[in-house]
Amino acid sequence: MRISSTWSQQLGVNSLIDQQAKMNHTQIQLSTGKRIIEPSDDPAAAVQVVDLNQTIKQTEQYNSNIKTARQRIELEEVVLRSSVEVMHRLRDLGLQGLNATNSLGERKAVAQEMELLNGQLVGLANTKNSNGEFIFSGFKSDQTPFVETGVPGSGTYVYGGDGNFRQIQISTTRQIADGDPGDTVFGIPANAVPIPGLATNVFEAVAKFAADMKAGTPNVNSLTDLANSLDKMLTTQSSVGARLNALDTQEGVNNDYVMSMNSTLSSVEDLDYASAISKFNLQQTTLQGAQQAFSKVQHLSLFNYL
Amino acid sequence: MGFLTTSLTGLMAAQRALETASHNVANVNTEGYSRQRAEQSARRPELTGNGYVGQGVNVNTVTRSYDQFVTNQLNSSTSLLSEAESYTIKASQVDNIVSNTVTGLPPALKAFFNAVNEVANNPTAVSVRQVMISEADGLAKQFNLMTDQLNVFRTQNNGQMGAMVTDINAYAQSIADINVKIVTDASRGNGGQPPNDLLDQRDLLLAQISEKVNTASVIMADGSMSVFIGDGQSLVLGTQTAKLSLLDSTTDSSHKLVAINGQDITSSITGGALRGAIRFRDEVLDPAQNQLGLVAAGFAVEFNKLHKTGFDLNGVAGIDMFKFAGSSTAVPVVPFPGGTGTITAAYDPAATGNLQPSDYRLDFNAGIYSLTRLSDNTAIPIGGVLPASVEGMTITQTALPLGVSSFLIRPTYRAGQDIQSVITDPRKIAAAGTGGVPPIPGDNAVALQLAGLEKKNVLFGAKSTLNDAYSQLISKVATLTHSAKVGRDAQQVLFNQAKQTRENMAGVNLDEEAANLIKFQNAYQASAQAISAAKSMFDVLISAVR
Repeated sequence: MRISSTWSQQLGVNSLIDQQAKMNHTQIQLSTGKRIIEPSDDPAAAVQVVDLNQTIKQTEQYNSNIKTARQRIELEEVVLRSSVEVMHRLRDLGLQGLNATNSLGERKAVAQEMELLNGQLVGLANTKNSNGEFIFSGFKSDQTPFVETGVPGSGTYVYGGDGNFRQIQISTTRQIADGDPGDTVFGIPANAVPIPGLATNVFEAVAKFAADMKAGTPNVNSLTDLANSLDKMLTTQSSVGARLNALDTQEGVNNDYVMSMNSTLSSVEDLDYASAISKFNLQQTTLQGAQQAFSKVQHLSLFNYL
Repeated sequence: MGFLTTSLTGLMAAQRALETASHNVANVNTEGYSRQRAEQSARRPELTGNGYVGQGVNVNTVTRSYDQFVTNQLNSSTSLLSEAESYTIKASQVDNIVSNTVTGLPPALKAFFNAVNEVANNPTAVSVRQVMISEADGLAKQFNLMTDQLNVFRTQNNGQMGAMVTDINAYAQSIADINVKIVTDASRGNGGQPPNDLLDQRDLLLAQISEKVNTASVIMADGSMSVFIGDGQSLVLGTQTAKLSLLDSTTDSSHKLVAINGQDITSSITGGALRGAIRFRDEVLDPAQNQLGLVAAGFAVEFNKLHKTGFDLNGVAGIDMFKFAGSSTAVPVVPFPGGTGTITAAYDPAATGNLQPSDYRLDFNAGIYSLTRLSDNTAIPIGGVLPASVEGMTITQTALPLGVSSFLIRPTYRAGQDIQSVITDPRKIAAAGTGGVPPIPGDNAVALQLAGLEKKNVLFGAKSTLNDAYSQLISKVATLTHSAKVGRDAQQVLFNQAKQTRENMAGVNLDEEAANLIKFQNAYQASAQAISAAKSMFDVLISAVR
């Protein structure tokens, strides 16, 4: 069979170009560490990579949401813990003041400390978070939750918030409350001086207790009010603890999920270096062979002997 | 003393053969050259008393190694290969754009929804809302940018189609010019000798046209070549050429049609880079733009719908966050020329799941409307009347057409290009579920739902998320590109075979020519020796009579 000189040269050049293209592809794979350079290399895997990346980023966003929620709930927990301490001190003072051996002067001193503690408690209930939002006024986070009505020292309060609480998305299916409305924690104020034992709100109850104490007629039923209020705080505190636990658990689940997605992603898109390097070496050898063969063949010509 | 003449004919023949061999050597690298050989035969012998005495040799003609079948085969392989190459190169460009992890849509979509999540976490923080405003703008711009890139590819593609049409016209003209020369040469009565090099040039021109578009050719009785393209439209007929040109589509000037002498033959173009460019536009570019537009339209309509159920930081009901060139619902409608009446179309927020990545044609004839989805040429039942709520949009008649009229409705084609984010005041983000005065700033009920839109199945019959729909785009383009590459590689093998067959038959082998040179040189020397023998015989004779 006769062979055209130009075509035989062209074939040699084509195979050189071919080998170079293959080596170039392997080289890009080696330098990026990725198996898929263009999506068309493996369309199914390319789509999987995009989906996996999205899922990973989505889950990372949930973990960022969890951090926000945790910050808020931890703040709430600190406030609740302080409130509970104040309540314990109030109960001790109440018991002390109720003791019949107390003089009026001593009761007045007790009452004064109770009023101070009540002020501290109101302050805790009106805590703001880092965004300047009141943490106990539900959705109406720009409204002070508990405000004393009438003249200072009237001992009557109103609730400025609402009964809602904000949800934070912590997984595709799960939301968690980042706080509690103040009326469930501190009780709904009646905006009136309560009858001891029937108070609905802790501030009004303490104010009434202190007022009675100051007048030298403390009511033993006020202790029931204190106990009821403490109960509400403790209930919220345990719910807060449970939510913090839930956040930790969900964060763990999310982290595991991200890790497993990352390992799937790696198996889909990452390069098997061992096989890629041996492929690269083979391609190098082939290219060298093709180059040598080309230069040898191209030097062969009958014209060399004329 | 006839053998002096006999030797002379040998000398002449060897000279011709040497000329032919050197011509072959000189043209070893000439594209489209077919090797030639001097055909020799013995001259008519002279009858003498001693029988027939040979009279030497004649060079009858110079022929070229040529085979019509092999050449046709090569031309059609060339067409198919350049179609596959043109298609593959263009498709990979789109492939790279849609899947790029930096410039693609997913990062912008993700950044936006992250910002929405943060607003759900911190509905009162204006700074966080400002981030969401910026990301919304970023997302809209990303849609615009990607559509712009597709438009750039369309412009480039149109430019290349234009250049190819110009080239084809020039080649066709050259073929006609060569036809003139060949026909006049033939009629000049040159004894029917083939003008080999002219024929090669004409074949090369045909091969060059075949790169652009598939051809069929016929050699006429007068030696001229006629070239046909498409369904048999003649491009060259003897010495006449038809003019190929690009026309604008009547409804979209960026959509080009290929016409011959003004008649649209786009759909009958087969093979060649021109066909590759048309297929790229129809199979990759336009569907990609529609799919991207579907994601943009579906996203904006659903987001607006949800956003309007919420209330902003002032306690006022939410407004549209995204619009399409000034309108939140209007679908572009382009009337076909020659019709009358006015039609409007709008997205139907209640049926986003029915949106399809396609253009539609609405026809009006004898009081009856009919709607066709153009991506698959499917008739969409609308009962012949408007208004009709179908395919995720509502089509309404605003002025009755007076006669036969048609309208092009494009719910997705322009959406990626037209989408814009229109809220600039961060307080206007409607995160709250309840409104009124005083506003309730800490309410994040709607913001939570907006963040949830990322994972919600809102497209394709409420079976795909926005991201799924975008993944489909990546997958479609990647699959088309992948199969184009496979097809291109297969065509390359077939082309190489055809080229090898042609080259082995018609190409020059330098070793063969070297051997021929030696052979004809020897023949020349031998004939010269014979002349020298004749001379010495004359000398002997002349000295005898001196």
